[in-house]
Amino acid sequence: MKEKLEALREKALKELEGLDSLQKLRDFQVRYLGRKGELKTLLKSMGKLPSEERPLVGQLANRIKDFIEEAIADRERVLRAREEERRLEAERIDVTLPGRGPELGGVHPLTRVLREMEEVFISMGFQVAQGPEIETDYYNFEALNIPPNHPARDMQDTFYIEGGLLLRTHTSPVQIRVMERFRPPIRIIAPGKVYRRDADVSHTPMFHQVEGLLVDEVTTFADLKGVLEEFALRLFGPRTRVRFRPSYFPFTEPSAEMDIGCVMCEGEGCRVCKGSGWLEILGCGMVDPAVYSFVDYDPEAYRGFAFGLGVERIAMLKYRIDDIRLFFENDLRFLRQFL
Amino acid sequence: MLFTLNWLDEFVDCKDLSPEEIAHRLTMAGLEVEGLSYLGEGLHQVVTGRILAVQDHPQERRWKVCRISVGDAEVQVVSGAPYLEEGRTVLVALPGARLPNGVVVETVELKGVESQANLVSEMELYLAEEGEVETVIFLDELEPGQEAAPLIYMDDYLLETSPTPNRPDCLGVLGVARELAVLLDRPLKEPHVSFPEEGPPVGEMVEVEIKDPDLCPRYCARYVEGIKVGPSPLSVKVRLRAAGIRAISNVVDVTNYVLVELGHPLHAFDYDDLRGHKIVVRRAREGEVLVTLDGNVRDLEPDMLLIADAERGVALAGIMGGANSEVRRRSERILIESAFFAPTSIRRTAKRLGISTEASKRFERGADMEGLVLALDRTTQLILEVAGGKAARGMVDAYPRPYQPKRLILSLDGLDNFLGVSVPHQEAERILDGLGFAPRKKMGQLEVTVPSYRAFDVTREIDLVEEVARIYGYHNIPSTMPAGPLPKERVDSQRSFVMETQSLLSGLGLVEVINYSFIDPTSLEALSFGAQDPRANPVTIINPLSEEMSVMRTTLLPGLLATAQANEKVQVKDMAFFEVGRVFFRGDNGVQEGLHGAVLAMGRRGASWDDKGRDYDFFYVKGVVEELARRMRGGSLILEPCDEPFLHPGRAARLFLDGEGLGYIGEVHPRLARHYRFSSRCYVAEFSLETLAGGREVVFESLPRFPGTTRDLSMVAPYALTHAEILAAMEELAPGLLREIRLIDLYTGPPIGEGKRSLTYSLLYRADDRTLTDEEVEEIHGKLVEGLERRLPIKVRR
Repeated sequence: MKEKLEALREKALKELEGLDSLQKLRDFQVRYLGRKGELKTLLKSMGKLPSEERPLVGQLANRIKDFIEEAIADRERVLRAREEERRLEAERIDVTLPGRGPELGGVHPLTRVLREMEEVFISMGFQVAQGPEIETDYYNFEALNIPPNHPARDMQDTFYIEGGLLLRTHTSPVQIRVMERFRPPIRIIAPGKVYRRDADVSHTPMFHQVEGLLVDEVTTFADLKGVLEEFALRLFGPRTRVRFRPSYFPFTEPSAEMDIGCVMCEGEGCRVCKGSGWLEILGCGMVDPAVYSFVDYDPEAYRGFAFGLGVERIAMLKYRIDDIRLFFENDLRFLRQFL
Repeated sequence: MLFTLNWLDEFVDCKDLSPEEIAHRLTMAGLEVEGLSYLGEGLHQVVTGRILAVQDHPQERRWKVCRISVGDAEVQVVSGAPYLEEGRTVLVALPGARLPNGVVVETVELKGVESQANLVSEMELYLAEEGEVETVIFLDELEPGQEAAPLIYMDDYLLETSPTPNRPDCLGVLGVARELAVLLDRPLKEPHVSFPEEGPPVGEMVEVEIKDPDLCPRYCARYVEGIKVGPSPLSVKVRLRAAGIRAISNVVDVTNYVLVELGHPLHAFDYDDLRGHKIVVRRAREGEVLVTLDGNVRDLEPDMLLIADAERGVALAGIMGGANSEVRRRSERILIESAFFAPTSIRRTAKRLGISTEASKRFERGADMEGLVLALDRTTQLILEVAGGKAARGMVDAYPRPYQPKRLILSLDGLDNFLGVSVPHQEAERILDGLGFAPRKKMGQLEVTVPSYRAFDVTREIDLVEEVARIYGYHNIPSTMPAGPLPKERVDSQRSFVMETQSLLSGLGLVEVINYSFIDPTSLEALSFGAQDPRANPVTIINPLSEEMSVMRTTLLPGLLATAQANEKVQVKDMAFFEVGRVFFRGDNGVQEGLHGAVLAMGRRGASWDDKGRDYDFFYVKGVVEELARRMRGGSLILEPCDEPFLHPGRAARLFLDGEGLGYIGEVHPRLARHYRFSSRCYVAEFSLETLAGGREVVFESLPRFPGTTRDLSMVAPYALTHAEILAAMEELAPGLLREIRLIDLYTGPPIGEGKRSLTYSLLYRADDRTLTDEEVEEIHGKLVEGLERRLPIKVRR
């Protein structure tokens, strides 16, 4: 009996090694360990054994059963692993096929640059203000210390509409509107569309400006420099060179223009900076006391500065765009580059 | 303004500095130097040459063949110029020279004779035009082989500056020199002018009467007789050409020379053309006409200032002389005018007549009422030098309104506080002194007198602050952060909801575009608005750049349609984009501005290598607008079919948000789509952003604690019954437990009958306090189905 059991074990082990599928393994399990399996069949003949041998043979049979079960479990693990390997292999894909891109949308490059600029000033305590795009002569010129027949009116060719109104030529009127409504301290920027009668490679009849105004009792020209330098460094990088040149605007005194080191040639001199190594990016100055008189501020009590810059110019420099008209042609192949 | 460095050096020593350094210093003081170039550019191969022999050209009788020594070499030149004789010295441009008129010199063969160089005339130097010059330039006293540029005054640099409009004083070399002198802390070499007055007393020769002293507070004149009008010397011609002014004759050239040098415009009359030998400065008379020097007939208006003689106008004051009194070759007696004219008057006249001259540019910015005498004397001196003659004794000086110099006080503490830097007092004083303000120090203050050449620009203390700051140097002022308090009040703006709209729409996959606010009126007409529609009646620009940009948009649609068309033209066929911007309407008092958003989608979306994607359609745009409305305001968006004339009549709706009109949505009318040559159906929506920006407040809602049960409900309904009507009925019939109704399928076609469609809804039932039993749900749902069938012409499919 013992020998028969041992033989069964040997046979089972041998057979097990040749099984190459889970189904065959199941069949094997039934065949050996099932209710009508070989082990059961063999044990049925145990009744014929002397009673003193029975416990021993019984023990042996159980050990063999455990042994085979374990071997089946081992085999099953191997087979499962193999099967998974096969399945995974069959599922292989061409990873170089193009990705299923999501529908891409995005804001206009001008919006993008504008937001960046707004963030810088907002972080310095400025608020965003707005005003109408169709303005009166008073807000666009007169209250900014540009009386009729002033030569500065030549600097800005104006679109007029009926009723003595005009398309604002700059965002500066917002300064006046804000000062009319609020008392200092004031810190605002005013982004928006402006219009000038001009059209060529570097001018479009509509473009965007950001106006800035800070008025309180203590601000100095040095503060004007500090704020605008910070702006330039934040927008164009910490290594940007900045300089201020005296200039003239009727509504600021003293006035200045801020240049940054050319972003194209880094100061070597190129076509973009006309060989100077510098790029003019904004006009600024201390608010002219004459302007305060238009908004009923005491010019002795308040001081402040104002600045204005062109969004297109900044965007062109940042993204190395060489034709301003691209912004308004809205060619999606252009716009999608900024998504 | 254009001028040369040598000219500048006559008033302030500066030639030890590089031209670049000078340009930089001026720029950093506010006088931007926009151009800097070498005047003798291309002339390095031009040298003096002595003619050794002259022979006739064998084939061309008008030509000569010259053998010329250019120092250590000889060249052979073929030339048609007269007066070429042995022993004379000429300018020889050797191969490689680039002459100012554009000619590049090379060896050529002229009818069988080799010509190895060009002889230089004023034409080649761009100093004269064809027909004006007789022959080449002769420099007979010079040895051959010398470099030409210094000999013809072209070893010099040309500077181009554009003074800001407040600085007319910098429209003259002297004014620029004054700036540079202060910047370099060097003395200004003021011109000393003197000349003999050997003619008759001026009072016997001419009388000046100013009728309108408000427009002409000062008029000075000198009389010179016995002059000989002819060409100017080369030195004058070169400088004038450099300054961009054409040489005319010695007398006229001198007036222009002084205009550039001292910045004051002058005019010379032929004295014999002045009837009554009188000058009358008066406003023009109604219907008066003047032929100006350029030959144009000018119709004058009564507020234009005229220089007249006893009978007629002889010059348009401060702008241009008259043809009737022009200095000509035969002129022998002249009257030189140096006057001051009111800036606004000159500006208005010049603008109205459409003329801008070197003179008007200066007068309209404000001339120098005191300095004009120096200009007159300098002109007289130079005319005597180049044209001979005798000047009358004395000058006429009609000066009804003498200049009152303004005195100002600059507080030095105030200066420091304002600039945020401590400027040494001595430095402030030095700067103002150098600029001509004659400062006197008095207890922490500087008392100054404004010089007449800065009368218009410097009128207040703050203007003195600027003067000190810009010369002291902006770079010497530190950069600090404002120390003042932050504003307490909030300035309201549309920024936050514009930004949110842009972010949302781009997040939904649309690309932002920006179109011009002005549009073509025909693009509005193409939308076929009714005559009463305010959108058909746009605000018009009086002086548009072109008809295509002549009215302000009343809707964003024309811009979007044009954008779609432009993109289709470049083979971009699939697109979904949006714009946010203002629209403009005629209002009761002027113009009403509105803030709109608009969306356009056409073509196909979502296509990839294993997916055909699907066409953009009405419901895509609707989904976008719904999402926008939900997130921006959280209200309920309602669509009502409408008949906007530019939309497909069966696919158009007006948008309402919480009962308020918001805009429209629909498919572009096929007629309009054909007009734009669209290749596929185009869907649009436009809405008022102000209406949309209700401000949604997000409030947390507790999550359901008990599970819900869904029941599907399929029905066949007539086409005319809308989803909204079905939905409304369900909501009304459903007791509080029906929480969600979703349309999950819509089908038309067999076996559903003609004019009908099948709709399947998924309904979610849920209670807040317990799990609903099947029996409960069955009962509620059963009632709903029953109620629906009773109310609506539908058949529920069971």
